[in-house]
Amino acid sequence: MSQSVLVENLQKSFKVRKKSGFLKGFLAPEYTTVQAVDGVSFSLKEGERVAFVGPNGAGKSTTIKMLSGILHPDSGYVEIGGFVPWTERKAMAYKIGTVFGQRSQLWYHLPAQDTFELLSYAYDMSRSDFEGRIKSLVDAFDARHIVAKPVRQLSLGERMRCEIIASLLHRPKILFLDEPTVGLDVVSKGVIRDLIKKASDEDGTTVLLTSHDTGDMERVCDRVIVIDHGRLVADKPIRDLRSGYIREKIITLAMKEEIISLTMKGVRLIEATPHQLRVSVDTSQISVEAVLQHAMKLSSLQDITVEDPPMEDIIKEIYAGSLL
Amino acid sequence: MKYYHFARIAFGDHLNNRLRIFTRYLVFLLLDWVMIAMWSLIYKSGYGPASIYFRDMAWYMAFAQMMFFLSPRLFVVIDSDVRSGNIGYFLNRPIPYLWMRFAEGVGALAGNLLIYYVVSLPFIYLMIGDWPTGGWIAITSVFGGLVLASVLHLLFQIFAGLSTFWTNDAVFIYHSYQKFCLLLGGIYVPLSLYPSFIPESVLKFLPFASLVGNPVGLLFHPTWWGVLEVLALQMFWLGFVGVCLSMFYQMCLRKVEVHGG
Repeated sequence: MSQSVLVENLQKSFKVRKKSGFLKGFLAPEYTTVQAVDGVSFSLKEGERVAFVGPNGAGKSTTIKMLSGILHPDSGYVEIGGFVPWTERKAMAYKIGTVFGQRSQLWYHLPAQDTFELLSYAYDMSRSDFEGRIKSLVDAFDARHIVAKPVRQLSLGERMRCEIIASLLHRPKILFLDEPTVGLDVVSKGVIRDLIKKASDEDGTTVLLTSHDTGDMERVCDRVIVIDHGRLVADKPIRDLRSGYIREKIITLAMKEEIISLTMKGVRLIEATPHQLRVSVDTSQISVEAVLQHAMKLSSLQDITVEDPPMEDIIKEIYAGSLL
Repeated sequence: MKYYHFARIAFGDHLNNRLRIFTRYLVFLLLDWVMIAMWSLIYKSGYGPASIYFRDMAWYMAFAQMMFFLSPRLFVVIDSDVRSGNIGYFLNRPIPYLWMRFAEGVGALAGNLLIYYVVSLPFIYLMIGDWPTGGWIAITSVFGGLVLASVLHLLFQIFAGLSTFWTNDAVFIYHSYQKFCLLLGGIYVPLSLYPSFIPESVLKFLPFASLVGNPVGLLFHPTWWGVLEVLALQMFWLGFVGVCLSMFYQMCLRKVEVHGG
């Protein structure tokens, strides 16, 4: 497989204006420099699916914006499908697709199919090519009933499906996804993850995905790059991260009883408050199902929540050096 | 060709927002009614300009107000794109943001032209009670001039919108531009009635006159030569402002910064 994305020693800083009095701020404003990305280097092979993760303010979105030609870096070198994003932006645009979870590329008052048509013109697609492509994407994404509705009437999950269709329309070689599942419910997240993976498998699209959600990287990606404070912290196959950290699950139980004692091997108490218990489960020692069965024997459960550990915790552990 | 499709979709999108169209149109009619009523009072009290009939003055006022309602409020869209950082997300498409937004503006403008040209005539006629002296030739000439005037107005709006890169707020730039139009464009008084210390030839040459005073002034003397003169000057300003805008846009691109962690 040839190289699809090459990033070498990428740096980007932002100048942030310091708060000061009106007159001083007007006449002699002072700035502080925030180093958002600090010497990041990595490469992606064609067809690879890579998660680019980190806590808030780690620099992942800034990096993806530089790779997709939105931001100019201060220094460093980037090649995307053979193009340098900030000097060959237009030529590169035909090779990449972007999905930004919190921004929409769809026209709000019009059906999504109108945006698809518009984008097909923007990307110079022939009519027959567009018609064939849109049919296959709409079928694959099971979106026939939603593309005809005005975008304002779509749910967030439906809109995200349309966003991904729009970004895949021109058969991009590289797909950048920035928080594609943000704000979605569990079912919609699952659908979106499966669709991204399926589309990548079928077209051999390279995927670079940023997310806070460990589920996104587990279900979609083969490799994970972790950054924090603008620096690369880890670059591992996803299975290493899974066996090292994502084996932990957080279970929150709401019960009728004021307090219960859930003492089991592999179960660690995080917090106990009246009628609520929060524990961490090491899935390499005991299954979530076994813990829940035991909890049901001890109490009358009213609600159960099972979560992945927060990304911040994983990063902290990686920083502590146990994985590196 | 791709710009045509952006304009076409914007046309449909604009017409879909019926409430916005209706409320804007209502404000336009109200403004027309006030202006016509005011000039009616001036003429009835004997202070109206002798060189212009009341009905011509009333039609002039109605069309002069129309120009600002024909163009969509593009500066608001661009201002919002710049402030939210959305502009950056359009840069990785194979179509320049500047001309994409312009094409969308033209599309929405086409929707407004359809509505304002067709629907306004009977309403204005009902308010005035007579057609202009120049008849249909005068109305058609003004309509032609207003198309290019509205396109020029779009370009000025894009300027105002992009100025957000430096000012963080396009509204006060747009309002300043509007004040120049009010003062020098012939919106409330035809250019021929301006005080003599401002030469009419200078006033007519300024871009503000090409927005309102010159094209709407065709109502008084709708000659072929007059129409050609007005259109040629508008074309000049369109070219000039377009080139300046392209250069300004390049400066703006260097300032694009999308924050986000």
